[in-house]
Amino acid sequence: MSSTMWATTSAKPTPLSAKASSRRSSLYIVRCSLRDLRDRIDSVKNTQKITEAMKLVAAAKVRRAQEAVVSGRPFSEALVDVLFNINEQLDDIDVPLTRVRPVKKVALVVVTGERGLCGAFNNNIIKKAEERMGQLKQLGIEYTVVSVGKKGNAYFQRRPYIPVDRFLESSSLPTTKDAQAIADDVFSLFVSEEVDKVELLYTKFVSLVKSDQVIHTLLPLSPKGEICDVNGVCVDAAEDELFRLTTKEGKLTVERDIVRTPTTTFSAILQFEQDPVQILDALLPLYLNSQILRALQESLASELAARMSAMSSATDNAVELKKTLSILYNRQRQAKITGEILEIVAGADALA
Amino acid sequence: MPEQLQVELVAADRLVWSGEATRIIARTSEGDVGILRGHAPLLSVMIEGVVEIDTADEGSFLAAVDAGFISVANDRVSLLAEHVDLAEHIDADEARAAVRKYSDSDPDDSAAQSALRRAEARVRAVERR
Repeated sequence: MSSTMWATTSAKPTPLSAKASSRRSSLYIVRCSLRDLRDRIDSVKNTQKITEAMKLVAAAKVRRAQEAVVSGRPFSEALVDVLFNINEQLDDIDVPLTRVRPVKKVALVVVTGERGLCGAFNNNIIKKAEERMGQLKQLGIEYTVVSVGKKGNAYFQRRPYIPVDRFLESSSLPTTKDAQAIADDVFSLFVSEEVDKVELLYTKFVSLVKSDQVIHTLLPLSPKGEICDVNGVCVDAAEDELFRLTTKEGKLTVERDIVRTPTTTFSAILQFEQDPVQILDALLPLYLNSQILRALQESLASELAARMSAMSSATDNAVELKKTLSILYNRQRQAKITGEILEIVAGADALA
Repeated sequence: MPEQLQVELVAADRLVWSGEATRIIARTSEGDVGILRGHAPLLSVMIEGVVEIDTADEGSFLAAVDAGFISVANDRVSLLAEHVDLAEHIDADEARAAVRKYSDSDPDDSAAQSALRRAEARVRAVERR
Protein backbone atom coordinates (compact mmCIF):
# COMPACT_ATOMS: atom_id res chain seq x y z
CA MET A 1 0.00 0.00 0.00
CA SER A 2 1.40 3.33 -0.88
CA SER A 3 0.17 6.82 -1.28
CA THR A 4 1.45 7.64 -4.69
CA MET A 5 -0.78 9.21 -7.24
CA TRP A 6 -1.70 6.06 -9.05
CA ALA A 7 -2.45 3.75 -6.14
CA THR A 8 -5.88 2.24 -5.83
CA THR A 9 -6.22 1.63 -2.16
CA SER A 10 -9.22 3.42 -0.78
CA ALA A 11 -12.37 1.43 -0.75
CA LYS A 12 -14.69 4.37 -1.21
CA PRO A 13 -13.73 7.02 -3.71
CA THR A 14 -13.93 10.51 -2.30
CA PRO A 15 -15.78 13.12 -4.39
CA LEU A 16 -12.56 14.63 -5.71
CA SER A 17 -11.08 11.36 -6.80
CA ALA A 18 -14.34 10.34 -8.39
CA LYS A 19 -13.97 13.32 -10.69
CA ALA A 20 -10.34 12.57 -11.28
CA SER A 21 -11.12 9.02 -12.17
CA SER A 22 -13.67 9.97 -14.78
CA ARG A 23 -11.05 12.23 -16.30
CA ARG A 24 -8.20 9.79 -16.38
CA SER A 25 -9.57 6.28 -16.84
CA SER A 26 -12.58 4.19 -15.96
CA LEU A 27 -10.40 1.37 -14.68
CA TYR A 28 -8.53 3.12 -11.94
CA ILE A 29 -9.91 4.72 -8.86
CA VAL A 30 -7.37 7.47 -8.71
CA ARG A 31 -6.66 9.43 -5.60
CA CYS A 32 -4.91 12.74 -5.38
CA SER A 33 -1.86 12.53 -3.19
CA LEU A 34 -1.41 14.49 -0.03
CA ARG A 35 1.13 16.68 -1.71
CA ASP A 36 -1.24 17.48 -4.59
CA LEU A 37 -3.95 18.41 -2.16
CA ARG A 38 -1.58 20.58 -0.21
CA ASP A 39 -0.50 22.33 -3.38
CA ARG A 40 -4.07 22.94 -4.34
CA ILE A 41 -4.87 24.36 -0.93
CA ASP A 42 -1.92 26.73 -1.21
CA SER A 43 -2.98 27.79 -4.66
CA VAL A 44 -6.50 28.52 -3.48
CA LYS A 45 -5.09 30.49 -0.56
CA ASN A 46 -3.08 32.65 -2.95
CA THR A 47 -6.07 33.18 -5.19
CA GLN A 48 -8.02 34.28 -2.16
CA LYS A 49 -5.36 36.84 -1.28
CA ILE A 50 -5.44 38.22 -4.79
CA THR A 51 -9.20 38.52 -4.98
CA GLU A 52 -9.32 40.14 -1.55
CA ALA A 53 -6.68 42.66 -2.63
CA MET A 54 -8.54 43.41 -5.84
CA LYS A 55 -11.68 44.08 -3.87
CA LEU A 56 -9.90 46.56 -1.61
CA VAL A 57 -8.27 48.30 -4.54
CA ALA A 58 -11.63 48.63 -6.24
CA ALA A 59 -13.13 50.03 -3.03
CA ALA A 60 -10.40 52.68 -2.82
CA LYS A 61 -10.89 53.60 -6.44
CA VAL A 62 -14.63 54.01 -6.03
CA ARG A 63 -13.90 56.77 -3.57
CA ARG A 64 -11.59 58.46 -6.01
CA ALA A 65 -14.19 58.14 -8.74
CA GLN A 66 -16.73 59.75 -6.49
CA GLU A 67 -14.37 62.60 -5.64
CA ALA A 68 -13.85 63.19 -9.33
CA VAL A 69 -17.61 63.53 -9.82
CA VAL A 70 -17.85 65.98 -6.96
CA SER A 71 -14.95 68.04 -8.34
CA GLY A 72 -16.66 68.28 -11.67
CA ARG A 73 -19.82 69.77 -10.24
CA PRO A 74 -18.81 73.46 -10.15
CA PHE A 75 -18.25 73.31 -13.90
CA SER A 76 -21.61 71.78 -14.75
CA GLU A 77 -23.43 73.96 -12.27
CA ALA A 78 -21.95 77.17 -13.63
CA LEU A 79 -22.70 76.08 -17.21
CA VAL A 80 -26.29 75.19 -16.40
CA ASP A 81 -26.69 78.53 -14.62
CA VAL A 82 -25.59 80.43 -17.67
CA LEU A 83 -27.59 78.32 -20.13
CA PHE A 84 -30.65 78.86 -17.99
CA ASN A 85 -30.00 82.56 -17.99
CA ILE A 86 -29.60 82.71 -21.74
CA ASN A 87 -32.81 80.80 -22.23
CA GLU A 88 -34.67 83.23 -20.03
CA GLN A 89 -33.72 86.01 -22.34
CA LEU A 90 -34.00 84.43 -25.75
CA ASP A 91 -36.81 82.45 -27.23
CA ASP A 92 -35.62 81.00 -30.47
CA ILE A 93 -32.16 79.67 -30.46
CA ASP A 94 -30.89 77.95 -33.52
CA VAL A 95 -27.45 76.53 -33.04
CA PRO A 96 -26.08 73.52 -34.93
CA LEU A 97 -25.87 71.39 -31.81
CA THR A 98 -29.52 71.87 -30.92
CA ARG A 99 -31.02 71.28 -34.34
CA VAL A 100 -33.67 68.59 -34.36
CA ARG A 101 -33.79 66.67 -37.64
CA PRO A 102 -35.78 63.68 -38.85
CA VAL A 103 -33.74 60.72 -37.73
CA LYS A 104 -32.26 58.52 -40.42
CA LYS A 105 -29.08 57.47 -38.69
CA VAL A 106 -28.08 57.27 -35.05
CA ALA A 107 -24.65 57.15 -33.47
CA LEU A 108 -24.49 54.94 -30.37
CA VAL A 109 -21.70 55.72 -27.94
CA VAL A 110 -21.21 52.56 -25.88
CA VAL A 111 -19.19 52.92 -22.68
CA THR A 112 -17.54 49.74 -21.44
CA GLY A 113 -14.63 49.05 -19.14
CA GLU A 114 -10.98 48.57 -19.76
CA ARG A 115 -10.61 45.35 -17.78
CA GLY A 116 -12.59 42.28 -16.88
CA LEU A 117 -13.18 40.54 -13.55
CA CYS A 118 -16.14 42.79 -12.89
CA GLY A 119 -19.02 40.37 -13.07
CA ALA A 120 -21.70 41.13 -15.59
CA PHE A 121 -20.82 44.82 -15.95
CA ASN A 122 -19.49 44.78 -19.50
CA ASN A 123 -21.95 42.17 -20.71
CA ASN A 124 -24.92 44.13 -19.45
CA ILE A 125 -24.10 47.32 -21.27
CA ILE A 126 -23.23 45.46 -24.46
CA LYS A 127 -26.53 43.60 -24.24
CA LYS A 128 -28.31 46.93 -23.90
CA ALA A 129 -26.48 48.17 -26.96
CA GLU A 130 -27.51 45.10 -28.96
CA GLU A 131 -31.08 45.60 -27.80
CA ARG A 132 -31.03 49.20 -28.97
CA MET A 133 -29.53 48.23 -32.30
CA GLY A 134 -32.32 45.71 -32.74
CA GLN A 135 -34.93 48.37 -31.95
CA LEU A 136 -33.41 50.80 -34.43
CA LYS A 137 -33.21 48.16 -37.10
CA GLN A 138 -36.90 47.43 -36.66
CA LEU A 139 -37.71 51.11 -37.06
CA GLY A 140 -35.64 51.15 -40.21
CA ILE A 141 -33.08 53.51 -38.72
CA GLU A 142 -29.42 53.01 -39.50
CA TYR A 143 -26.82 53.18 -36.78
CA THR A 144 -23.11 53.35 -36.17
CA VAL A 145 -21.23 52.63 -32.99
CA VAL A 146 -18.59 54.64 -31.18
CA SER A 147 -17.06 52.13 -28.83
CA VAL A 148 -15.36 53.39 -25.69
CA GLY A 149 -13.40 50.92 -23.60
CA LYS A 150 -11.21 47.92 -24.38
CA LYS A 151 -13.89 45.38 -23.56
CA GLY A 152 -16.40 46.91 -25.92
CA ASN A 153 -13.72 47.35 -28.55
CA ALA A 154 -12.86 43.66 -28.39
CA TYR A 155 -16.52 42.73 -28.68
CA PHE A 156 -17.19 44.91 -31.70
CA GLN A 157 -13.94 44.02 -33.38
CA ARG A 158 -14.95 40.39 -33.30
CA ARG A 159 -18.19 41.31 -35.07
CA PRO A 160 -17.31 43.16 -38.26
CA TYR A 161 -20.95 43.14 -39.37
CA ILE A 162 -21.68 45.89 -36.82
CA PRO A 163 -20.77 49.30 -38.25
CA VAL A 164 -18.34 51.03 -35.95
CA ASP A 165 -17.23 54.59 -36.43
CA ARG A 166 -14.38 54.65 -33.93
CA PHE A 167 -12.73 52.64 -31.24
CA LEU A 168 -11.64 54.69 -28.25
CA GLU A 169 -9.95 53.80 -25.03
CA SER A 170 -10.25 55.48 -21.71
CA SER A 171 -7.70 55.98 -18.96
CA SER A 172 -8.08 54.54 -15.48
CA LEU A 173 -9.68 57.75 -14.24
CA PRO A 174 -11.67 59.54 -16.92
CA THR A 175 -10.17 62.89 -17.88
CA THR A 176 -11.41 65.80 -19.92
CA LYS A 177 -9.09 64.57 -22.65
CA ASP A 178 -11.03 61.30 -22.88
CA ALA A 179 -14.32 63.16 -22.92
CA GLN A 180 -12.94 65.53 -25.53
CA ALA A 181 -11.97 62.69 -27.88
CA ILE A 182 -15.49 61.30 -27.76
CA ALA A 183 -17.04 64.76 -28.03
CA ASP A 184 -14.96 65.64 -31.07
CA ASP A 185 -15.99 62.49 -32.88
CA VAL A 186 -19.63 62.82 -32.01
CA PHE A 187 -19.67 66.55 -32.76
CA SER A 188 -18.34 66.09 -36.26
CA LEU A 189 -20.70 63.18 -36.97
CA PHE A 190 -23.68 65.26 -35.92
CA VAL A 191 -22.74 68.60 -37.43
CA SER A 192 -21.75 67.06 -40.76
CA GLU A 193 -25.24 65.51 -40.75
CA GLU A 194 -23.79 62.06 -41.11
CA VAL A 195 -25.94 61.13 -38.13
CA ASP A 196 -29.10 62.84 -36.92
CA LYS A 197 -28.99 61.76 -33.32
CA VAL A 198 -26.35 60.66 -30.85
CA GLU A 199 -27.22 58.38 -27.96
CA LEU A 200 -24.97 57.67 -25.04
CA LEU A 201 -25.20 54.17 -23.52
CA TYR A 202 -23.55 53.89 -20.13
CA THR A 203 -24.03 52.36 -16.73
CA LYS A 204 -25.46 54.59 -14.09
CA PHE A 205 -24.22 54.04 -10.56
CA VAL A 206 -27.24 53.38 -8.37
CA SER A 207 -25.76 51.55 -5.42
CA LEU A 208 -22.89 49.27 -4.60
CA VAL A 209 -24.92 46.27 -5.69
CA LYS A 210 -27.12 47.77 -8.35
CA SER A 211 -26.47 49.66 -11.55
CA ASP A 212 -28.72 50.73 -14.37
CA GLN A 213 -27.86 50.61 -18.02
CA VAL A 214 -29.21 53.86 -19.43
CA ILE A 215 -29.49 55.45 -22.83
CA HIS A 216 -29.29 59.23 -22.88
CA THR A 217 -29.82 61.40 -25.87
CA LEU A 218 -26.61 63.35 -26.16
CA LEU A 219 -27.30 65.24 -29.37
CA PRO A 220 -29.24 67.25 -30.35
CA LEU A 221 -28.79 69.16 -27.11
CA SER A 222 -31.77 70.83 -25.67
CA PRO A 223 -31.00 74.55 -25.39
CA LYS A 224 -31.94 74.56 -21.74
CA GLY A 225 -29.50 71.80 -21.04
CA GLU A 226 -32.11 69.16 -20.33
CA ILE A 227 -31.04 65.56 -20.19
CA CYS A 228 -33.35 63.28 -22.11
CA ASP A 229 -33.49 59.56 -22.47
CA VAL A 230 -34.59 57.82 -25.62
CA ASN A 231 -38.23 57.72 -24.63
CA GLY A 232 -38.30 61.48 -24.60
CA VAL A 233 -38.42 61.59 -20.84
CA CYS A 234 -36.47 64.66 -19.95
CA VAL A 235 -35.01 65.78 -16.72
CA ASP A 236 -34.38 69.43 -16.32
CA ALA A 237 -30.67 69.87 -15.88
CA ALA A 238 -31.53 71.90 -12.82
CA GLU A 239 -32.94 68.76 -11.23
CA ASP A 240 -30.17 66.45 -12.33
CA GLU A 241 -28.75 64.25 -9.62
CA LEU A 242 -25.20 63.31 -8.86
CA PHE A 243 -24.26 60.30 -6.80
CA ARG A 244 -22.38 60.53 -3.56
CA LEU A 245 -20.87 57.82 -1.39
CA THR A 246 -21.64 58.19 2.26
CA THR A 247 -21.98 55.97 5.26
CA LYS A 248 -25.31 55.25 6.82
CA GLU A 249 -25.32 53.31 10.08
CA GLY A 250 -21.77 52.28 9.44
CA LYS A 251 -22.47 50.80 6.02
CA LEU A 252 -21.30 52.25 2.75
CA THR A 253 -24.24 53.55 0.72
CA VAL A 254 -24.85 55.70 -2.30
CA GLU A 255 -27.03 58.77 -2.19
CA ARG A 256 -27.93 61.02 -5.01
CA ASP A 257 -27.85 64.76 -4.55
CA ILE A 258 -29.60 67.28 -6.67
CA VAL A 259 -27.41 69.69 -8.58
CA ARG A 260 -27.75 73.20 -7.22
CA THR A 261 -30.77 74.79 -8.84
CA PRO A 262 -30.18 78.23 -10.36
CA THR A 263 -31.92 80.68 -8.08
CA THR A 264 -34.12 83.17 -9.77
CA THR A 265 -33.43 85.78 -7.12
CA PHE A 266 -29.89 86.19 -8.31
CA SER A 267 -30.55 86.02 -12.02
CA ALA A 268 -29.48 89.33 -13.43
CA ILE A 269 -30.02 90.09 -17.07
CA LEU A 270 -26.62 89.32 -18.43
CA GLN A 271 -25.42 91.52 -21.22
CA PHE A 272 -23.98 89.47 -23.99
CA GLU A 273 -20.76 90.80 -25.29
CA GLN A 274 -21.01 88.60 -28.33
CA ASP A 275 -23.89 87.47 -30.43
CA PRO A 276 -25.99 84.91 -28.46
CA VAL A 277 -25.42 82.35 -31.17
CA GLN A 278 -21.66 82.80 -30.87
CA ILE A 279 -21.91 82.42 -27.13
CA LEU A 280 -23.94 79.24 -27.41
CA ASP A 281 -21.55 77.92 -30.01
CA ALA A 282 -18.83 78.30 -27.40
CA LEU A 283 -20.85 77.05 -24.43
CA LEU A 284 -22.70 74.04 -25.78
CA PRO A 285 -19.56 72.08 -26.67
CA LEU A 286 -18.38 72.63 -23.10
CA TYR A 287 -21.71 71.31 -21.91
CA LEU A 288 -21.42 68.34 -24.24
CA ASN A 289 -17.98 67.54 -22.83
CA SER A 290 -19.17 67.72 -19.26
CA GLN A 291 -22.09 65.39 -20.00
CA ILE A 292 -19.77 62.85 -21.55
CA LEU A 293 -17.30 63.16 -18.70
CA ARG A 294 -20.07 62.56 -16.18
CA ALA A 295 -21.18 59.45 -18.05
CA LEU A 296 -17.62 58.13 -18.08
CA GLN A 297 -17.26 58.76 -14.36
CA GLU A 298 -20.55 57.09 -13.49
CA SER A 299 -19.65 54.15 -15.68
CA LEU A 300 -16.31 53.79 -13.97
CA ALA A 301 -17.93 53.88 -10.56
CA SER A 302 -20.38 51.14 -11.62
CA GLU A 303 -17.52 49.05 -12.97
CA LEU A 304 -15.60 49.38 -9.72
CA ALA A 305 -18.65 48.46 -7.66
CA ALA A 306 -19.23 45.42 -9.88
CA ARG A 307 -15.60 44.43 -9.45
CA MET A 308 -15.85 44.81 -5.67
CA SER A 309 -18.86 42.53 -5.63
CA ALA A 310 -17.36 39.98 -8.03
CA MET A 311 -14.09 39.82 -6.13
CA SER A 312 -15.96 39.53 -2.86
CA SER A 313 -17.87 36.49 -4.18
CA ALA A 314 -14.64 35.04 -5.51
CA THR A 315 -13.05 35.43 -2.11
CA ASP A 316 -15.99 33.75 -0.43
CA ASN A 317 -15.82 30.89 -2.93
CA ALA A 318 -12.11 30.50 -2.29
CA VAL A 319 -12.77 30.25 1.45
CA GLU A 320 -15.38 27.54 0.84
CA LEU A 321 -13.11 25.63 -1.49
CA LYS A 322 -10.23 25.81 0.95
CA LYS A 323 -12.47 24.40 3.66
CA THR A 324 -13.58 21.50 1.46
CA LEU A 325 -10.06 20.74 0.38
CA SER A 326 -8.74 20.91 3.95
CA ILE A 327 -11.31 18.40 5.10
CA LEU A 328 -10.34 16.11 2.24
CA TYR A 329 -6.67 16.53 3.07
CA ASN A 330 -7.17 15.67 6.69
CA ARG A 331 -9.24 12.62 5.87
CA GLN A 332 -6.57 11.35 3.55
CA ARG A 333 -3.84 12.08 6.02
CA GLN A 334 -5.68 10.13 8.70
CA ALA A 335 -6.37 7.25 6.33
CA LYS A 336 -2.69 7.10 5.50
CA ILE A 337 -1.70 7.00 9.15
CA THR A 338 -4.28 4.32 9.85
CA GLY A 339 -2.95 2.31 6.96
CA GLU A 340 0.59 2.52 8.26
CA ILE A 341 -0.49 1.48 11.74
CA LEU A 342 -2.33 -1.51 10.26
CA GLU A 343 0.82 -2.50 8.37
CA ILE A 344 2.87 -2.37 11.51
CA VAL A 345 0.31 -4.34 13.48
CA ALA A 346 -0.02 -6.94 10.74
CA GLY A 347 3.72 -7.23 10.51
CA ALA A 348 4.05 -7.59 14.27
CA ASP A 349 1.33 -10.22 14.19
CA ALA A 350 3.09 -12.18 11.48
CA LEU A 351 6.30 -12.23 13.50
CA ALA A 352 4.66 -13.14 16.75
CA MET B 1 -23.04 94.05 -1.28
CA PRO B 2 -19.80 92.22 -0.58
CA GLU B 3 -16.63 94.28 -0.25
CA GLN B 4 -14.92 92.60 -3.13
CA LEU B 5 -15.66 90.39 -6.08
CA GLN B 6 -16.54 86.78 -5.31
CA VAL B 7 -14.59 84.83 -7.89
CA GLU B 8 -14.71 81.23 -9.08
CA LEU B 9 -12.07 79.99 -11.49
CA VAL B 10 -13.40 76.66 -12.72
CA ALA B 11 -11.90 74.00 -14.94
CA ALA B 12 -13.85 71.07 -16.38
CA ASP B 13 -12.59 68.64 -13.77
CA ARG B 14 -12.18 70.84 -10.71
CA LEU B 15 -12.63 74.19 -9.06
CA VAL B 16 -9.18 75.67 -9.47
CA TRP B 17 -9.51 78.74 -7.27
CA SER B 18 -12.23 80.58 -5.49
CA GLY B 19 -12.05 83.56 -3.25
CA GLU B 20 -12.29 87.31 -3.09
CA ALA B 21 -10.57 89.63 -5.49
CA THR B 22 -10.39 93.31 -6.25
CA ARG B 23 -9.77 93.10 -9.95
CA ILE B 24 -9.93 90.51 -12.73
CA ILE B 25 -8.46 90.85 -16.17
CA ALA B 26 -9.40 88.34 -18.83
CA ARG B 27 -9.18 88.10 -22.56
CA THR B 28 -12.38 87.72 -24.53
CA SER B 29 -12.97 87.41 -28.20
CA GLU B 30 -13.58 91.17 -28.27
CA GLY B 31 -10.39 92.02 -26.43
CA ASP B 32 -9.24 92.30 -22.84
CA VAL B 33 -11.80 93.04 -20.19
CA GLY B 34 -11.19 94.30 -16.68
CA ILE B 35 -13.71 93.62 -13.96
CA LEU B 36 -13.93 95.78 -10.85
CA ARG B 37 -16.50 95.89 -8.13
CA GLY B 38 -19.84 97.07 -9.40
CA HIS B 39 -19.31 95.92 -12.97
CA ALA B 40 -22.45 95.61 -15.08
CA PRO B 41 -23.75 92.08 -15.60
CA LEU B 42 -21.81 90.50 -18.39
CA LEU B 43 -21.48 87.25 -20.26
CA SER B 44 -18.60 86.94 -22.64
CA VAL B 45 -16.76 84.25 -24.51
CA MET B 46 -13.22 83.92 -23.21
CA ILE B 47 -10.45 82.88 -25.55
CA GLU B 48 -7.15 81.16 -24.78
CA GLY B 49 -5.11 83.56 -22.77
CA VAL B 50 -3.88 84.68 -19.41
CA VAL B 51 -6.23 85.63 -16.62
CA GLU B 52 -4.96 88.02 -13.98
CA ILE B 53 -6.57 88.00 -10.57
CA ASP B 54 -5.68 90.66 -7.99
CA THR B 55 -6.62 89.67 -4.50
CA ALA B 56 -6.45 91.69 -1.32
CA ASP B 57 -4.76 89.07 0.88
CA GLU B 58 -2.88 86.75 -1.45
CA GLY B 59 -1.44 89.24 -3.89
CA SER B 60 -2.09 88.84 -7.58
CA PHE B 61 -1.61 85.73 -9.60
CA LEU B 62 -1.94 84.58 -13.15
CA ALA B 63 -3.58 81.58 -14.75
CA ALA B 64 -3.45 80.27 -18.29
CA VAL B 65 -6.88 79.32 -19.54
CA ASP B 66 -8.36 77.48 -22.44
CA ALA B 67 -11.35 78.88 -24.30
CA GLY B 68 -14.43 79.23 -22.16
CA PHE B 69 -16.55 82.01 -20.81
CA ILE B 70 -16.67 84.67 -18.14
CA SER B 71 -19.84 85.75 -16.43
CA VAL B 72 -20.26 88.69 -14.08
CA ALA B 73 -23.34 89.45 -12.05
CA ASN B 74 -23.86 91.11 -8.68
CA ASP B 75 -20.12 91.15 -7.99
CA ARG B 76 -19.91 87.40 -8.58
CA VAL B 77 -17.49 86.41 -11.31
CA SER B 78 -17.31 82.94 -12.84
CA LEU B 79 -14.49 82.08 -15.18
CA LEU B 80 -14.98 78.77 -16.87
CA ALA B 81 -12.63 76.93 -19.17
CA GLU B 82 -11.87 73.33 -20.09
CA HIS B 83 -8.31 73.65 -18.84
CA VAL B 84 -6.92 76.06 -16.32
CA ASP B 85 -3.30 76.15 -15.24
CA LEU B 86 -2.13 78.35 -12.39
CA ALA B 87 1.06 80.12 -13.43
CA GLU B 88 2.96 78.83 -10.43
CA HIS B 89 2.29 75.26 -11.51
CA ILE B 90 3.43 75.69 -15.09
CA ASP B 91 6.81 74.33 -16.12
CA ALA B 92 8.38 76.97 -18.38
CA ASP B 93 10.45 74.55 -20.43
CA GLU B 94 7.56 72.20 -20.96
CA ALA B 95 5.38 75.09 -22.08
CA ARG B 96 7.95 76.36 -24.53
CA ALA B 97 8.48 72.89 -25.93
CA ALA B 98 4.75 72.62 -26.49
CA VAL B 99 4.75 75.91 -28.42
CA ARG B 100 7.58 74.68 -30.62
CA LYS B 101 5.74 71.44 -31.18
CA TYR B 102 2.51 73.05 -32.34
CA SER B 103 3.91 76.01 -34.22
CA ASP B 104 4.56 73.92 -37.31
CA SER B 105 1.06 72.60 -37.50
CA ASP B 106 -1.34 73.14 -40.34
CA PRO B 107 -3.29 76.43 -39.97
CA ASP B 108 -6.47 74.56 -40.89
CA ASP B 109 -6.07 72.04 -38.13
CA SER B 110 -8.26 73.68 -35.52
CA ALA B 111 -7.37 71.25 -32.74
CA ALA B 112 -3.66 71.89 -33.21
CA GLN B 113 -4.24 75.61 -33.51
CA SER B 114 -6.13 75.79 -30.24
CA ALA B 115 -3.45 73.62 -28.61
CA LEU B 116 -0.90 76.14 -29.92
CA ARG B 117 -2.83 79.10 -28.54
CA ARG B 118 -3.14 77.33 -25.22
CA ALA B 119 0.57 76.58 -25.13
CA GLU B 120 1.34 80.21 -25.94
CA ALA B 121 -0.95 81.33 -23.14
CA ARG B 122 0.92 79.08 -20.72
CA VAL B 123 4.24 80.50 -21.80
CA ARG B 124 2.96 84.05 -21.38
CA ALA B 125 1.61 83.22 -17.94
CA VAL B 126 4.87 81.76 -16.79
CA GLU B 127 6.94 84.59 -18.22
CA ARG B 128 4.89 87.34 -16.69
CA ARG B 129 4.84 85.67 -13.30
